[in-house]
Amino acid sequence: MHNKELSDLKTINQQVMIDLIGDDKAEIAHFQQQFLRQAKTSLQHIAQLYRQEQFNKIKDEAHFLKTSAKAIGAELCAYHLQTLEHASLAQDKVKCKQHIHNLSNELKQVYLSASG
Amino acid sequence: MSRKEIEHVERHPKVILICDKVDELGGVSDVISSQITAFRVLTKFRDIKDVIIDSAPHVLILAMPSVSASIELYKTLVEQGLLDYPHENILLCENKESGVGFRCCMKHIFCDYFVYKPMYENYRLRMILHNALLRCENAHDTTHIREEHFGNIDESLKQLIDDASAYHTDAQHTLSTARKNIDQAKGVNDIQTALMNELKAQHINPLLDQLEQKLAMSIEELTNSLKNKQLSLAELSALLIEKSLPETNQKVTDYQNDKPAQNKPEAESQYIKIMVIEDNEIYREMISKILINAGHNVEAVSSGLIAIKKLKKQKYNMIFMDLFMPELDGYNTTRNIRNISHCKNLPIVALTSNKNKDLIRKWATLGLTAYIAKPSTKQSILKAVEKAKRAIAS
Repeated sequence: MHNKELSDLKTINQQVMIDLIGDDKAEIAHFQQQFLRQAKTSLQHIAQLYRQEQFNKIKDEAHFLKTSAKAIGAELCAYHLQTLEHASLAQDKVKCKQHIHNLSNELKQVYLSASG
Repeated sequence: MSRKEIEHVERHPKVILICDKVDELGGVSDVISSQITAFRVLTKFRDIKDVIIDSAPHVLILAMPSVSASIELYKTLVEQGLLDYPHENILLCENKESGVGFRCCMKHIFCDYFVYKPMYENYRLRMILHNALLRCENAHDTTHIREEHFGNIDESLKQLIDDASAYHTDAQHTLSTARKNIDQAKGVNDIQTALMNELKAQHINPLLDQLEQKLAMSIEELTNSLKNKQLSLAELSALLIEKSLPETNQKVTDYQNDKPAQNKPEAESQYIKIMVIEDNEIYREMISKILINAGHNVEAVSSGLIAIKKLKKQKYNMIFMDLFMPELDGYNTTRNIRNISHCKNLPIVALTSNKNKDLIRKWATLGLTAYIAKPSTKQSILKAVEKAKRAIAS
């Protein structure tokens, strides 16, 4: 993913999970649903940490969720989480807000993509 | 699940409130959550068990319907070996049982108790929690330093710390005696006593406070120097080891062009016992499934601390380990694992991202068999297993 341009990144790159766990559709759906549940809790936590200006914890939470995003092939989500990690490391509140917003929007796309 | 329970769902809580009826503890929950965000309210035994295994919370607050129920629950957790780590326990009880609570604390069953029904002094609860967290942080840090740096401590620095600590204790004792003497001193008349009190309040006590604070800061500075010095020693040692381990920093993908061995050693054809250490449950489950489907015996754990505990009791053939984990990261988990007698040469495969080259390099010096860039592929993961098997066989 690191070598890809932003425009090449997909909401869900199916091939990532196929390469990792195989092409069992039920299993793929299971992990996607699990990711969405995890992301919902994580995003709420990130928003709470943002309000409390706990940037280090935002970085940790973003890193945590990035692992799952990468694993299910949610490339754009992983990208937004990476940028959020950078912004929180720099304690840049304005950028953090922007990235959290982008992440929230992207998660909606993942939901739509996984549901469809 | 009730409203309050939903509010306090921190994934890795430092403080957990264990109770039966969440609604009766609304006030307590609010006080605790205003003091620490890493807090969770738990009612079900299974959840309590899972959270303790996953997060090893520093403080357990027990508020069961009766003191005996709290003792029973705590006893069960202890008997199941779930509380085998430094922690503080606080008993919450009703006013009618405060005598029993006091007795429990005198017998060292609980570190402290607080009457929450009726709840009069929420600041006392804050104080109890504050002190408990403070003690736990210190205890945790001490254990961490001792375990992690055992055998590598620079003797002169160690002596300096011990001297400073002894000096600190002596000085605190002297200051405390001085305070007592000043408090007991009285003037020959009321005017002189009043003047002395004013002098104490405005000048002497602030001066003593300042002295105490400076002493505490000196100790902290010395402790930090110790930590920094140990880290640089570890790095130096790591670089030396790296010279003798040419394969440790090699990526699994480098093996894609390897020719298969013609005569496989016996160990290569066997299924092995693998431990997966990864805090992210989704990725942990994925890696585990790949390995289980390949016929291996897999145990997946969510933290380095749990892994170390299990490794002390059981033998495994190899480990897949994440780098970034709460409490203890992959590097420090590996350091601890290498101190276990039967794990000195245990193959460890690092699970991490490509961006952490420096960290991986440092980590590799502790003896990594390979590293895998997340999310990786089934092929890479199984190749890492093959590589570990070859390492076991050799």
